[in-house]
Amino acid sequence: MNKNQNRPCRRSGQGLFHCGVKTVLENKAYLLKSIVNLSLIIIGIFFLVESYEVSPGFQQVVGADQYPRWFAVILICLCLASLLKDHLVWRRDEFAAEEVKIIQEMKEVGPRILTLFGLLVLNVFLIPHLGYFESGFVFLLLAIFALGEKNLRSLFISSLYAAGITLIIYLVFGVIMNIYLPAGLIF
Amino acid sequence: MLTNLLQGAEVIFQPLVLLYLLGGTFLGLIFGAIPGLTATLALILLLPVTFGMEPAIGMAVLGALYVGGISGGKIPAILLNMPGTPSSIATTFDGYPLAQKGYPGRALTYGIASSFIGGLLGMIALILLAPQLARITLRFQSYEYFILGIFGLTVVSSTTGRSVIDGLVSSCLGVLIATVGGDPIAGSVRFTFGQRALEGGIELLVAMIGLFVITEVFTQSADVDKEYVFSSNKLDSLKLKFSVLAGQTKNLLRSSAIGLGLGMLPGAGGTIANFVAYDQAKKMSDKPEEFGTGILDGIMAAESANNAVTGGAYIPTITLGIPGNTVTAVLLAGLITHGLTPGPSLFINEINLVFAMFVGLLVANVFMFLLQYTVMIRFFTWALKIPKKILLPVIVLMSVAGTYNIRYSVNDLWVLIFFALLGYILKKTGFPLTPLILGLILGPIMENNLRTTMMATGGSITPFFTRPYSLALIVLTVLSLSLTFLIKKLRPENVS
Repeated sequence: MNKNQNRPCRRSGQGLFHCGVKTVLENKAYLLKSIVNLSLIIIGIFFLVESYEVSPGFQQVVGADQYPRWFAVILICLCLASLLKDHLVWRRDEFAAEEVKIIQEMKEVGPRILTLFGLLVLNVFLIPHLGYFESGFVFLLLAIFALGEKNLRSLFISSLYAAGITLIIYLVFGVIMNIYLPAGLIF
Repeated sequence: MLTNLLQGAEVIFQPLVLLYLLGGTFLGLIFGAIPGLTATLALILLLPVTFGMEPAIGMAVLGALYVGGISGGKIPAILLNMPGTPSSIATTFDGYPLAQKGYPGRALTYGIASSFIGGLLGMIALILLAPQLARITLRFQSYEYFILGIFGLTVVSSTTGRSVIDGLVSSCLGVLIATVGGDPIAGSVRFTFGQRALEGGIELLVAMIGLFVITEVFTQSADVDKEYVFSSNKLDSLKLKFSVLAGQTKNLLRSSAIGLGLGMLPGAGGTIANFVAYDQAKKMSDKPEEFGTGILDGIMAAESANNAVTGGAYIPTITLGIPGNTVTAVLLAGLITHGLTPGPSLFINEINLVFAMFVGLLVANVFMFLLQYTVMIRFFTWALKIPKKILLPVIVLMSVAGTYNIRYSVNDLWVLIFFALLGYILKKTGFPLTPLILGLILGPIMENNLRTTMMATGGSITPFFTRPYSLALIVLTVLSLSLTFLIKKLRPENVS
């Protein structure tokens, strides 16, 4: 890979600020890593600020507030160091060579992963209302269908699989192992 | 020691327990054999199932899953050129070429025998070494435990990711997340956003299921359409010749020693051992040019090493409370979940449990050999025919059941979703997840010990530097971090 591929200012001779912003935005791996680091810094700041609201406890040399405070400070410092390190790597044009896994994956199978995530959220939302096995059936039906072909026949097969698997899970968890799971309309 | 072993055997040699171990080994083998599913996944998913068992039996079953999970990876590595787990990557180098030459049965048979020998040697070393090491670590007090926690976090952070800093960020985040909920000493409530559900803290297993299992399901859903291409070669003779094994004695001993040694190092594990043993076997061989063409030496080196790791990785886990790899981090979580405190105190308070675990591992190793040699070779092709579009949703559903079963709390299911999202983002942006889990495990232990120490010293940190063990651990921590930075600087790409 041409190292200058993601550094157009070297080729076009545009203004430094314009080019800097543009190349940062173009290098999605660097951008994403920086966003995650900044988010972690915000989390660190949150813990740091909130630690002052925590009661230290009675006669404590190191209070319940101090231990998380120290680690919050360490987290912020490490994230800043990570940002700096990534920036230096990016400046040396080496960041482009690293994998952009999440972006590649999102382009290729993003809808599939997002659907699976959405169905998981739906399943958790439905459990208190429908029960574990009933919401599990809905989840299995939709997830197997979403991961396979999208036609009526596939929907029918998915429903058969979902019913069969739900029954097996009910027999294993509910009957044989007697594990308590949220009760629902049928089971 | 013999008395302890006999007492451990009394726990394990009961019909129902043996059945549990057989089932655990079998499930572990299936998880190991299906590419993408790992021993870690098997352990996390089935940990809630062990809640109803006695701790000793539950831990033995988890050990059986581990033994099976590590060993099962060789089957697809040999037959499909696709390692079932990362610890079997080097097995493909000679295993697949030998299968392609028309000897898949020979490759599998000697691979299975090597796994058994490597596993056995690793476990014998575990039984002999762990109690001796525990004698030293029993002298540790809260000063040493705190530094040990820091040592564990830094070592695992520096070995599991591409960058030491990213590993440390992960571990720090884990320590911070572990502070959510009630403080372990004074009982103060911390970082709960006013949510009563968070007052009990973040359940370790919920975080693990979210970070490892659901994240892995999302990742695996990317290649849900993948179909496995089986070799058209039928299985040749599965006969195991003693003379062939005897000819490989040096290779097996060397590779098992490598696996054992690397397994003991926190963060190293089976993947590295697999490669190092293969490389050493090649260097020591009279016919290095034949490596990679399908010779037994390569398969046996790789397989004995990755199974010897199992015993090795248990040593720091139970004697120090520091896991050797991700799987033993789950085992550590298993000990905590069963109400036990990992570390040398196990050898005083729960000596029967420790030896029952050891005997359980030995039995699981025998089951692993028998199951693979008889059932799994044929069962494997069936297992791989289960479409991932069905397998993945079932894993999610089992994860949800496992999560709910911990505290019967729907709120934990939302925590699971949070950790799944966090894990996916961190994993894909290059932050390793193992240090995060280790931070969650060691965070509360470190806090307890630091605060106890500070109470005892009145706030002085001098004893950390005046106590020999504590000072030695500080030196080790600094040395390991410096060495990691130095090694990264000296790598050829950085030199150039």
